[in-house]
Amino acid sequence: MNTTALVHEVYIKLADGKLQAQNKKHFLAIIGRAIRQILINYAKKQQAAKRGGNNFAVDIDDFPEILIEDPKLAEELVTLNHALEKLERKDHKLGKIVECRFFAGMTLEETADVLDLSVATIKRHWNLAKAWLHREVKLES
Amino acid sequence: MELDWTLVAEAFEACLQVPSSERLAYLQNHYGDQPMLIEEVKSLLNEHDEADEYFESIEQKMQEKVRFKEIEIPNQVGKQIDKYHLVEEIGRGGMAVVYKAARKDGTFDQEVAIKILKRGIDTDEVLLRFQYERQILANLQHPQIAQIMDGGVTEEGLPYFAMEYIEAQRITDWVKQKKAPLKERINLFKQVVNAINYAHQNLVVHRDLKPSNVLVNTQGNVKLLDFGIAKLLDKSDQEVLKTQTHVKLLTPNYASPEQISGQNITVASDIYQLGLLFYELLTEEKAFDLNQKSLSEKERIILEQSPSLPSKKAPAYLQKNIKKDLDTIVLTCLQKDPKRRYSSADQLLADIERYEQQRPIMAKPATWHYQLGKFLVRNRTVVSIVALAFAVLVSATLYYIKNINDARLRAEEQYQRAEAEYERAVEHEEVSQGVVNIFTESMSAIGGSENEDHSRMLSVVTSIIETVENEDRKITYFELLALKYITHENYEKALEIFNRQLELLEEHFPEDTNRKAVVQIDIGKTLLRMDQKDSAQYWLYAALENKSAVNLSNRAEAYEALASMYFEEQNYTQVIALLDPVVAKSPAVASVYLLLGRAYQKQQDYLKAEALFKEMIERFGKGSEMALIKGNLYLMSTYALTGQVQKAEALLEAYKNYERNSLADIAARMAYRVSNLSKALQNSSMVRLP
Repeated sequence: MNTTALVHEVYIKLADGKLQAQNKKHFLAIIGRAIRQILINYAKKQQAAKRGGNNFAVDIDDFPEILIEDPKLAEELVTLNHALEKLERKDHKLGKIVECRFFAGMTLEETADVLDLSVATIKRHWNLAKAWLHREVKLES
Repeated sequence: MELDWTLVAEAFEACLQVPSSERLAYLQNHYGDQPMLIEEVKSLLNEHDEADEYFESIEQKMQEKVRFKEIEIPNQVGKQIDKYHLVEEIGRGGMAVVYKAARKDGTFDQEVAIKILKRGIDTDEVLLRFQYERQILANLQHPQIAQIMDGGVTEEGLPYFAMEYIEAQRITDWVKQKKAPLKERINLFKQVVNAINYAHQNLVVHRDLKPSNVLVNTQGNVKLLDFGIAKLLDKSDQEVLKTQTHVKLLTPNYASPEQISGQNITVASDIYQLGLLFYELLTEEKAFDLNQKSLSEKERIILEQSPSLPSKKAPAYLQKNIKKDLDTIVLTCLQKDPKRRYSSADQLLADIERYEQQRPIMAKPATWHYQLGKFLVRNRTVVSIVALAFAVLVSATLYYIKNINDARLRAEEQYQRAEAEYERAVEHEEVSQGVVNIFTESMSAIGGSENEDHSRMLSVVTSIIETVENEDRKITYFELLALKYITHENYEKALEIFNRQLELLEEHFPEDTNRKAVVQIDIGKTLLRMDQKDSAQYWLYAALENKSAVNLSNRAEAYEALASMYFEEQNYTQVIALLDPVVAKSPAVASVYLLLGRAYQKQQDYLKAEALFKEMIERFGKGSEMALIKGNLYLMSTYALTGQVQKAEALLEAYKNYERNSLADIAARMAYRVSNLSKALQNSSMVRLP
């Protein structure tokens, strides 16, 4: 997946004619969430389709049609998302960081900018989130 | 028991800051009493390396295995759609597949292009979109716009339409391959502008002009394709169009700043994209290098960066022919602010024609003060450093040019300070290349004669200074600015600024009486220049009011200003009363010696005068040519007035050998007068020798 292309897709969709420059930070902060939702939705749909044996046609509203070619990856993403939901209940801010870094593919600096935190803080939190998520994913699978 | 997450997070993150071998010890030291917490953190630390690998591998897999899914249109070559026989696939995009087809209806064969939309008419949106595209294209009949001829629905329920088949090449490839001369490139571009102008007049904005939509056919004529996301200007259609705008992705590399920032898209966006196209036609390079850039970088570049001049980027054989005006035309199209672009394709066309006829074009190159203003709005944090360097440099230069005697030394000092500050700023990368350009341009602007640019520049500088956040610096900058107004003899403005300084001092540094006094003295001196003696006196005495709060050299300055006023009123006793203690107590400046000496001279106390002038020459002559010349001049006049003709003539001799410059010239003329005077005095025998 080309994350940049996906971000752009979502951005254009949400931004066209409506988004003012001053809202951009706010927008970027939610873009990670949007991508996460799209991806996980597709992953779940694909899994469901697989189980049901249907010849699935993924088509969610206005979003671009996404195909996750590797069924194991779809599964992994759903597991990761599940772990992330748990982490968010402990620490909401870590969830935001994962959305920006992992789902939206932002750099440390971009994430820091969007979330109004220092780069050093983002780096520390990101390390913590990764460690915690990985342990959780291992436990779940 | 549930562990406190905040503590766990804190301990984990702290551990990452210490070397891995010391982490355990660190935990024992800090959290020794919480074994559960230590276990938890240890377990998380164990995950650390593996977690990195896990995230890297899953990201890798996402790169490879997640795709945008396209509806597959089976290859339809050989099939018949209505009266069209599909011959070959010639293009495939996000929304549609395009086939070359032959129309066979018995009477004659005709080649057409069939564009089949990839989605069935399963939503209203697609239906509307299809109908609009058809309608728009059908309405536009222009030799440079690909003509739509027909449309319908395939057996599978996919909408299609038939267009004029064009055997053509992208305009940018065409000129590159042909190594087309400049004139030909301009001609092709004019065809594009013409077609866009026609579309605009029919209330259609293209919105997606890019090389792949601008073709040149085998006859060498331009054909515009794909008014696919075109938008009708007619207001009544806005509602309908809202629904269609978010289907098609804009090509980000050709997006205009207003498209990026989500403002209304108008004719101006087409002008911008025409600018991008013209740029590429002239230089064979893109105006902005967006390759391999992240989305946010791309946006920043589109919103903020100015492209290099086309004449600098063009291939060598074109470069020499691209005149400055052509640069201006392209850059006017590419202005970030839609209002600053050509307001219509017609205007753009007219300017290109003016250029071809070598008449002056209407567009003006972006001026430095405009750019400065833009920069100011964009980047307030950098402003304080730039403002210092700018204000100081500008004021120093003006002083330097105007050669105002004692200000000169000060100016040189300021100049060096400005340079140092500026270099420091550049070193810290606080100043972008753009600012460097502004600087260079502004300097050359100042170098010229006085014009309205000066006052505009000064007002820009004023607004810059107001944005400086450090109040201390702000006041200093204002002082420099006020001094500049004084060199321009704009005393009213200078007074305004001095008053602003007093306000700021009052507000932020009420204790700093010395500084306040400096401004009061400045006001007094300015009023003196305006010949408002009473007010001047008021301010100067106000500065001296609290003697203990004002330092000696500032007091000296006030005394000097008052003394010069009394001197003019021929109240020499008062001058002496004010300045004698100054010379006695402090390292007074040359001008104080001079003024006091002249007062003694007027009082016919020639010995005192001579001593003062001599001391002045001795103390200041080496460092200041002005002090040397003036000191000698008045010394000479003293000799003359006292009949010491030989001494006077000896000094005059020295001048003849003096390097000729304007100052020395003036001095020589005055000396000549003095020597004549002394001869006259000698002849009349009126002078008593001391």
